Amino acid sequence: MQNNQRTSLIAHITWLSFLLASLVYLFSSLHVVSDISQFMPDDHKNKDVQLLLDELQQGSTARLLIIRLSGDDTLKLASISKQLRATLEKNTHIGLVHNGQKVLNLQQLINNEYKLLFNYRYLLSENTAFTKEALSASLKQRLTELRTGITLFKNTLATDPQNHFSRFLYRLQERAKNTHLHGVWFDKDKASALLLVELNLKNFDLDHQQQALNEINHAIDPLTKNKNITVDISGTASMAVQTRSAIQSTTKWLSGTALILMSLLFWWSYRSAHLFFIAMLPLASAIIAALAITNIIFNQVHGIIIAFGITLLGVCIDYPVHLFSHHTKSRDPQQTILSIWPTLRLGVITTALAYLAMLGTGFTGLSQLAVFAISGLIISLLVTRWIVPAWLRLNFNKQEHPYLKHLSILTFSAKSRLVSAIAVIAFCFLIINANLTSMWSENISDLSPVPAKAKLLDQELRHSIGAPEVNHVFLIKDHDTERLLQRTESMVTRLNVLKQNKQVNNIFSVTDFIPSKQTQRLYQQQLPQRNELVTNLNTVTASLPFKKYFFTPFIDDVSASKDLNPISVAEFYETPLAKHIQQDLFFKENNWISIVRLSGVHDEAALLSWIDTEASIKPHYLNLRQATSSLMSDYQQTALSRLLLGSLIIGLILLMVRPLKRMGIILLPVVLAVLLSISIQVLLGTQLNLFHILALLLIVGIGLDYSLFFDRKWTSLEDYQHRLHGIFISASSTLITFGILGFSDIPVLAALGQTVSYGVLGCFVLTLLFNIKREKA
Amino acid sequence: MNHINKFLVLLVLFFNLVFNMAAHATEHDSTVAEVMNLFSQQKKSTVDFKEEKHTSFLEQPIISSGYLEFIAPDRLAKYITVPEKISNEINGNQLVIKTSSETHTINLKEHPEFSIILTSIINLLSGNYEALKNNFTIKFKGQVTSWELELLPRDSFIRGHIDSIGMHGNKNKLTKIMVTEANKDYSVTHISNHR
Repeated sequence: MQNNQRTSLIAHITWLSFLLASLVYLFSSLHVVSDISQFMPDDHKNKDVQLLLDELQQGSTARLLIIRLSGDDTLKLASISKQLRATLEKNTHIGLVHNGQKVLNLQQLINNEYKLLFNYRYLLSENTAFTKEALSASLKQRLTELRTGITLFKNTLATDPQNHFSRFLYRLQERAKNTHLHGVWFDKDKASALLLVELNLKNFDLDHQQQALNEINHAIDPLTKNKNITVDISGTASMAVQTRSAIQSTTKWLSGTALILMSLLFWWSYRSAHLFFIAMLPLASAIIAALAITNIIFNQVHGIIIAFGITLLGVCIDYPVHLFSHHTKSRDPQQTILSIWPTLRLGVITTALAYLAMLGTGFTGLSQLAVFAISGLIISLLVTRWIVPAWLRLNFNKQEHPYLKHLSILTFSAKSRLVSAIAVIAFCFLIINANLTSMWSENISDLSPVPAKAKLLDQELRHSIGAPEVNHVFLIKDHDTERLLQRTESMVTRLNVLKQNKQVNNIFSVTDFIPSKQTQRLYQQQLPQRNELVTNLNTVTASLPFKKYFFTPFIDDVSASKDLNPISVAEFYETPLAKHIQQDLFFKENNWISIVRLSGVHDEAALLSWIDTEASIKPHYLNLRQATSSLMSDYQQTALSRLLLGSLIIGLILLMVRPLKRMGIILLPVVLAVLLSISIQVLLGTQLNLFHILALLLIVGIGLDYSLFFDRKWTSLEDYQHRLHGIFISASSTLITFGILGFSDIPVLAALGQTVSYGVLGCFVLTLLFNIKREKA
Repeated sequence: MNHINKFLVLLVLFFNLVFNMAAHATEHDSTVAEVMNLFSQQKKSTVDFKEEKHTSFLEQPIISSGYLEFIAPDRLAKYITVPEKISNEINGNQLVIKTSSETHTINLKEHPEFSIILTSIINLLSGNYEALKNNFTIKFKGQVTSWELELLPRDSFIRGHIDSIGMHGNKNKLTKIMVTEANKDYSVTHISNHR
């Protein structure tokens, strides 16, 4: 006895110091990452896809927000769009705001920021309009503008009478090619106004994103007050913020509801609510330890792993439950734990070893999950063995439950067992076989924790604002920026065929903004000689009212342009237009990367067959949707094969400790439950993804636990009822937590909740069916 | 006695002056009020105009002519017909400018420098003296049958573009508009054929 007490004391000291050390470590070093790309494999075979995914997740594209105003008459919407733009542009957290408005602030042209670009205007875009006819047309156009009262270009008339620079800027503004109404962007149905807002945050973390979104909402509120206007905002930042709040509310709601229901369950089963808190000890210790160990090994933990891993560890609550259910007043808790220890140990160790199969796949997500699960399972087993019994000294009156009597006298004939097994297998085979090709999800966004509604809205808004499609992308890499720009230009020249044939609406490339030096020199050569320009201008102005020598600054600038050194990418990056090119040209992994995008692809099949014939273009083509879906299926296949490997490990271990027939009886209900869970999901039309597969592993663990406990020889009817009680409470508690999770807004958690709920229900019913009253000691 | 006399004379003179000024002011105020009242009764009007724009970099002024249409309270359109067709229409907060090749839409709130002239005409034609007083320091001269308004922008941003706007008229007929820009470019618009 004294020995026991000493062991318990040592155990407690070890446990508490371990927990304390873990907590201190977590507070100082826990690094949570949340990008879906970090959940992807370390070295994917297509590096370019990874690169592009990274850029989409973290690059400048991620900084864009789309705002849609709808509901009122279009004139009011347009006016609000303009006012909103004016308000937002004053905010320091917001960079560019585009709403299609043709507003050029004259100050911008002449102030210092744009000075360099203005000086380079004849090198940045082509200008061949120096003939007498062309000059005359330009100047007459300017006179018309003066007549209208537009004084916008009056200050630059002498230096740029062709409005060459402002046309260059307009062209860039109009890349989106949206529908215009009342001077601003509208969707194709001309029902709602659209704005594109670029966040300008030095610190792009969630809190700052949230703050910027709040500020945008504050700017919108007074404009839409008392009006029947619906405002939708979407974009990476908005989705991230929504996801966080959805996770927070789910967590609150889930933990609140689960806490109440679990307390009620414990009260009903053990007439003791405080037992519930003792039952939480292994789970809480497991979560803390698993987090610390995963972070130590990987230097970071993925947010998905935390959410997913914690729910996976929910199975840990079953271990103390078995202990409680087997415990009686007359026994020392140490005796009780020792009596169930071999079964408990076998269940946990086999499950933990099954998770080993998830290691070494090259998929970081799977490895992290394996480490998280294995360390959590082992810790909770140890805590159940050496800590929980010491807390159980208080007497508790286990309630006599009449349902246990009914359950304990149930028997099934061998024939009925066989028939049910065949029925289940037939049912699953029919469903799975009929949906074999369509049952797997190929969409990478199914893995993202973004609420389904937010995802839909984002797709809708992206589509309506005509954002360049990420699905058809051409990626060119080079160490040298000049060579890269030249290669990009020849690519665009080739792709222009598609535009001419009206196969695509538009082609976006960085060379819209900054041509290669080679091209700049060509533009330079095309500029007229000073004498020629002077002669032409003199002829033209002779019949126009302009004063003599008024256009001398223009002549000077054109001549000076002929001697300019072409502008470099580095110099261009110092100008206000740099932010426009960030998504088209960036430096990553020792290479400069240029991305050419297509928008408005009319016929995807035609495009693909055209690309197939273009040897110079084909190697650069990336179909992101195709690439990510193949990545997804790789991921799923790996996970699935590792799941089978894990099951094989379980089978082998069992075979070492149990005869073949017994192993069969232990595993059969588990395998059937897994199949049932898949089939029900498929029947309900859910597309299975990676998380469903991982959830199956949890079902295997839980089912194995039930099966092993049923498999234990029982000493008395009371003992048999204890085990039924334990399994019943375990199943109920799992159903409560995962059932609630099944209703979550977050697709990942909902998938997990539903899969596990069906699986656990299947496990409970089937283990009962196959194991009930099998053997008596 | 002498002193008292002198004092009385001064007193009389002083009161005379005050009364005179007051009478003058009331006369002015009542004239303005009458003109504005006449304008406010007119719900719709169309006139012809001929505009000369004098710009520093042009040898000769740009001359355009056409007609103006006003519908109370805030619709004003200026149609240039000679030498080319150009329309400027104000509708609420928007100014839409159409030439044969281009359309520009300008939000008046964002670009008061473009719209100040047209809005001041709208305010006058609708008899909204308060709105004029909000935007300008106003000098008024003359009688109901021949008046002159000189509008000096209060806003410093607008003063950077527009120096002054002068309007002449007879009762509720606007006859002449003169705009002087900050850079001393100016335009004169003669208005006729009120209908």
